[in-house]
Amino acid sequence: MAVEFASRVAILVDMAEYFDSVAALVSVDEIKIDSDDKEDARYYMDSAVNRLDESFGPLRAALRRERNRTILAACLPTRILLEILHYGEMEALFSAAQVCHGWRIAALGHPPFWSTIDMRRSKCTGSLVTAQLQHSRSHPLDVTFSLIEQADEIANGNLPSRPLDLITRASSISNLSTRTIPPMWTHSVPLLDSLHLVVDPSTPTGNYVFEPSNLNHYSVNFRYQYLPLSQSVLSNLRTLHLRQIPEPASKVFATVFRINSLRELVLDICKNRDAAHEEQMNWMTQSTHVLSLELLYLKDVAPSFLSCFLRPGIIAETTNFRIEPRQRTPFQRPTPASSVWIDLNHNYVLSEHGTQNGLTRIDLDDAFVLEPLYNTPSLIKFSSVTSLQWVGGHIKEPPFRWFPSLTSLTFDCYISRVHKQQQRLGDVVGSYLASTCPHLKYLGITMRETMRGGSGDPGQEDAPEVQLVAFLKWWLDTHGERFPEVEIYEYRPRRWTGRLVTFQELTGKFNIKTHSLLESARFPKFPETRRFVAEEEEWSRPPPRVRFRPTIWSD
Amino acid sequence: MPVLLVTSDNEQFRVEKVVAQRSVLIKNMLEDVGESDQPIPLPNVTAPVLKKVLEYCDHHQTDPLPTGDEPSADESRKRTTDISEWDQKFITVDQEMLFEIILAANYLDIKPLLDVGCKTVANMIKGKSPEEIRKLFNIVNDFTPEEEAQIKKENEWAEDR
Repeated sequence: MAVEFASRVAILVDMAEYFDSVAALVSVDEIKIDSDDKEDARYYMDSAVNRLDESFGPLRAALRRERNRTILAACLPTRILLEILHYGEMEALFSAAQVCHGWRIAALGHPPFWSTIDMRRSKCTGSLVTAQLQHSRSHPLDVTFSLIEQADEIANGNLPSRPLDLITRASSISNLSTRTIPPMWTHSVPLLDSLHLVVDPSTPTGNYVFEPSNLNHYSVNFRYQYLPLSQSVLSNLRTLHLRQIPEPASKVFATVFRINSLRELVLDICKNRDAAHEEQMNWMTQSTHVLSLELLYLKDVAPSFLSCFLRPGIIAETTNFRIEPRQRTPFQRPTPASSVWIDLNHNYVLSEHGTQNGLTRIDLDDAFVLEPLYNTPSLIKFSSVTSLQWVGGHIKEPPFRWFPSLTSLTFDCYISRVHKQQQRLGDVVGSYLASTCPHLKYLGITMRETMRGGSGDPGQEDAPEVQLVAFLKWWLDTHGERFPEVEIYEYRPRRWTGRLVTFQELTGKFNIKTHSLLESARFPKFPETRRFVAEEEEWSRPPPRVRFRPTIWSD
Repeated sequence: MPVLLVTSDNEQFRVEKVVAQRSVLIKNMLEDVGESDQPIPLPNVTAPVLKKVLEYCDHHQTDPLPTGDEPSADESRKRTTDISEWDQKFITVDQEMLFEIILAANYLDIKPLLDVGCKTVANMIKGKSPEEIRKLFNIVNDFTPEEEAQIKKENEWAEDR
C-alpha cells in the first residue's frame, strides 16, 4: 500500500513538472492577439480554450475528484447524502447539485426529489421549474400553481412566463392544484392522475373545458358556481371530493352513482336544501349497481344529502363513514362497541354495529311521529346494542325493550315542557327502564334550560332530582344492588346538592358537572378520514410512488 | 448484562446492553449469538467516534425505538430540521467528527442519531450557494467541462426569467 501511494505521488509530481514545462513554452504576453477583427480573435481564443479544456479538463476533473475523496463531506454514501438533501428546500437541492460530481450524481440520480413543483412559492423561478422538469425525468410530478390573471395576462411575477408550456412537457402529473384553468389550456395533460380545482367565481365557468380522462382523484371546490361534471372526467375516478356545490342532492347523487370505480366520496359544505325525490332515489339504488363506498364523509351538508347518500347500496357494513358536525355532548366515555344515534332533528336513526361492522341508517318520516321508529327493529338488530345516544327530540314511552343489552344511556332533558317534543327526565328514567335494561351501568343526563319568552305556556317546573331518586330506588328494589354510575351535566347544579348524600347512597358513582365543561363528543367515533395513498394494485401505468396530500381547501 | 464492544483501533468499551441495543446492528448481533460474553467487533468505528455515539445512546436509552413507519425520503420531501437542545449541544463538534458520527450511525443503524447528523448538515448548507458550500466543507469543483456546460445552462435558465 505504501509503495503504491509513493508511486502515485511520484506520478503527480511528474505531472506538475510537465504542466510547468508546457506553461513555460508560452508567456501570457505572447497569446495576446492584436487584431481589428475582434470576431476572428474571439474565435481563435475560444478554440484554444476549448482545446485546453478538451485536453486537460477531464484530467483536471479527475485530479480534483481524487482530491475530494480525502474529504468526508464529498464522498458520503449516496443514501446518507440523500437523507441530508431530503431535509432541504428545493433551492438547497438545486445548489447541492452544483457542488461537486459526487453530490450532483446523488441529487440527479433520485428523480422523486425533483418532482414536487410548487409555483405558489415566492422562490419558485422558471429556472428551478425547468431544472425540476429535467431532473425529475419520467417520475410523476406533483404540481401546484395558482394563476392570477389580469387583463388576459398572467400576473404572478415569480412564475415562469409560460408555466403551462412547462407543465405540458411533463410526462405525467400526479397532483395538480389550480385556481384558474385558463381558457387556452384545452388539451388534456398526459396521464393527469389527480386534480384539485378551485373554481374562480370571477371566471365564467364556460371556460372550463379541461377534460382529463385518466383522473383517479378529483377534488373540486365549486364555490357555489355551476360547473358541469363531465362524464369523461368522472369515468375512472376512485376518489371524489366536492365542496360548496350549488346543485341539489339528487343531482349530485345521480352523477356520483354512475361512477362504477368510485371508492371514496367527500361532500363538504353542500347547502342546497331541495328535497330529494325519494322514488327516483329508490329506483336508482334498486335498479342499478351497488357502489359500496370504502369511505363516505358528509361534512356540513343539507339534510337532503343525508337522505340521498345514507342508504344501502351506497354505504355497506364495511364503509368508513362519518358525518359532521356531530352534536356536542359532555359525556366522556370510551367509544362503545355498538351504539345507536337517534337524531330527530335530522329525522333519522343511525345504528353503529361495532367497530368493524359499519352503520345503518333508518329514516324517520316525521320527527314527532313515533311509528317509523317503532318499526325499526324489523330493519336493524338492536339486541346487541350496548350504548344509546338520545338526541334531538322527545320520544314518549321510549322503546327500551329493543335494547336488552344496553349498558350505557345518555340523553338530554328539560325542566319543563314548553314544546311538546321536549324530553323530561321522568319520560326516560322510570321503572320501565329499570326492568327492561337489566345490564345498564351508566346514565348520562344533560339538563337543558327551557327557553322562556317563546310562545306557549312555560309549563310547570319538574323536579328531576325527585324523579331520579325514585328511579334509583326502583333499580335497587328490582336488582338488589345500587345503580353503578350517574353523570349529570347541569346549568343549575345546586338543584342536586341538597340530596347529594341520598344519591351517593343509591349509586356506585355520582357526578354533577356544570355545562362549562362541555367539550368532548361522545357520539359514534368513526375512523379519521384516511390520507390518500396511491393504490398499489395494477394500474394502466406504473403506480406513482408518492403519497397524495389530502384535500385542504383554502380560499 | 454489560456488552463488550471492540473498535477498529482495538479499544474496548463495556456498556449496558440496553445502551448498546440502541444500535439495530448490535441488537441483531446479540440476538444472533444469544447469551454470550464474546466481544462484538466494530471494524468501521474508531474509539473516539464510538465514545461519542455511546454518549448519545446512553442519553437516549429510554426513548421509544423507531417503528420503521416514518415516511421515506421519497414520500415526504419537507421534513422539519428542528433538533432538541441536548442533541444540538451533543452534535456541536468539528466537521470531521460530525461526518464520522453520521457514518457510524449509518453503519450501526441508529436512525435517530443519523437523523440528528443529517439535519445538522442540512442546516449548515441551508441558503448557501454551491461555492459557499464547497468552501464550508473544503470541497473543490471537480466537474468535467461537459458537466460545467450543463450547469452553466441550468444557471442561464435562472437568468432567463
